[in-house]
Amino acid sequence: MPSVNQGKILKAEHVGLRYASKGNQATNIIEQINLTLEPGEVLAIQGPNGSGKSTLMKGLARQLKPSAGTISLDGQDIWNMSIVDFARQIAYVPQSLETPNDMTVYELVRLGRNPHQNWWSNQLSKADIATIDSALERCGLTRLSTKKLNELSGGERQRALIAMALAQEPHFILMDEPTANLDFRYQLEVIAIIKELKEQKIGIATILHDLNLSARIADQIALIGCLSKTIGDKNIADSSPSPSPSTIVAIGTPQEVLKEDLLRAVFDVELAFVRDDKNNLDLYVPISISKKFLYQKNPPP
Amino acid sequence: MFVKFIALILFTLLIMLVNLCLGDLSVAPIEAIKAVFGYGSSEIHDVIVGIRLPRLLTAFIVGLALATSGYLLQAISRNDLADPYLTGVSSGAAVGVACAMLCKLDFQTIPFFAFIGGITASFLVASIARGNGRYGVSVAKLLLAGIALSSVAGALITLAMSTFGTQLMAQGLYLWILGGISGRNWQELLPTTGYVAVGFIVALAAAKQLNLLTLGEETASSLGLNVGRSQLIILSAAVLLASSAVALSGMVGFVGLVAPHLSRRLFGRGARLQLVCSGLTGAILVLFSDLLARTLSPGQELPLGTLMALIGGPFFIYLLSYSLDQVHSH
Repeated sequence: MPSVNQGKILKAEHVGLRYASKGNQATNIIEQINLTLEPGEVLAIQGPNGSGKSTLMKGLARQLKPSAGTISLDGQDIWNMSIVDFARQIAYVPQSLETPNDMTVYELVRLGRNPHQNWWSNQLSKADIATIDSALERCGLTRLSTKKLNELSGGERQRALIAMALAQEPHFILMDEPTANLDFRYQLEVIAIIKELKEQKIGIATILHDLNLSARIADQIALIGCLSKTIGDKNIADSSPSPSPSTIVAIGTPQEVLKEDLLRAVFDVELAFVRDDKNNLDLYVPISISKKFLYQKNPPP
Repeated sequence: MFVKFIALILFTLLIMLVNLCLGDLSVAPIEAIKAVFGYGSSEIHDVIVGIRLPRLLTAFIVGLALATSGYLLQAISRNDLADPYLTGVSSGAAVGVACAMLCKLDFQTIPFFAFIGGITASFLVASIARGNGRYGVSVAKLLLAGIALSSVAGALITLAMSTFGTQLMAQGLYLWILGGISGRNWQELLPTTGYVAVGFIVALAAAKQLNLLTLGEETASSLGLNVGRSQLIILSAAVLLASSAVALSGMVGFVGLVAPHLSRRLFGRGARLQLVCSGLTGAILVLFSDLLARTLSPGQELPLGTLMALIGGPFFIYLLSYSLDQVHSH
């Protein structure tokens, strides 16, 4: 059941987020985030470890309140919406999920119907059942629906999480590294699901580490990083998570963002670019850690 | 599933009947049932309706309350080792009861004071266990905070009693803390049953919220659940159940740990089912322990709390050493 998603826009304007991670160590600070996500669009969020990608995701998913700026859906501040109303429109797929030992795929996915149900009711309506079945089918889990989650492979578990999000019938789905810890095949499976959701006019924001996968599915790539760190970089050890604020260094189409100088500056690596004419792809291969590199060009506004 | 559930109910009724019949004066089942309904000799009637029936119902209520409280605490902390006794909720409630006793308050108000003590303890423990982590609680911290709080609570009670209380009062309190359900009369039983019923109904109504919370706070909130409010309501229900039990029977430990585990193994998951099944399992546990407490050494009675600790302690150690890693799968 494709969501009717005309005219919905998820927008972040001048957003700042602060997130104290466990053990009071590094405080992630991101500032001046501006982005828009439209129906049927895929936004890939890229950036080094500790640059605040997950923090941004938590902000968009209404789990972390912005310290500055606003995130709005269709012009309405997401923090002024009721939590149920939000969950009907935006779903969040965590990187991994601890589930009770013997929970089945179906039991998990049916919980995705929660925002559409009464607060006391556990009963599934016919429409609920149809939505759950469709979500399972779209994620290729129909046959596995009675399986226990802890008997699934990593890829199947990830698909179950996506199916739960689909059961919410959202306009937008936010994914926190859906391909983490998956091998090639499972990564491609997830990518195939994302492509299908895109066709159904669901807007998707996802953290992806693989530049090549991003280039293939994303309409927009947001590159998050901290340039001040790179300027005058003395020590590679410094590139661990730092308290200086990150921001979106570049946002645009893959062609606009995945440029050698930008990537080199943000990730501190040397990359090789390989042209795959057969599949009409530019491939990015990290070669080595860059030596002192100064990024001087101003980031695009 | 349905068969198992019927079996559970039948078994509960059976053990209730056994509890009614056995004791210093053994009564035939048919005589006992007759007495409950007002027939038979007055001598048997006095024993059955005057002593054993209130005691049996007390055991039932205490078991049900502790087990469901344990289940609720386990669900909201996502930690299978949580239990009102181990997390210090019972100790907090005991301080409340001791205060009420010291002030010579009416018995009707005791569950209320127990609740105040219990909820204070639960907030303290929860805030310690939560620490810096934004989501979820640490298992080790939860249990250690519970232990620490229990020690402080025990010391407070002793201190208060030795300073303000009479010797008689101290003796009574000591016996009560050991955990026992002897000598409860209808006047004590009925109001507490009301508190337990309220807690149980609130918990049943929050079944859906409980199911969502098993996925963790982050995911539950992204599914549209108001996590903070749900946790507060469920915690209050859990504390109300546990403190009512404490008011009635003192410190009976491990029921809230053992019963939900057994019930999960036997009956599967799902919050509403678990609430009912672990409640009944807990009732059976306490009824059985009380039966042992009354019959093991004739003429003398073992404290119920002591017996439960004998059963529950090893079970806790088993859980700690064996299944802690398997509590949740990634």
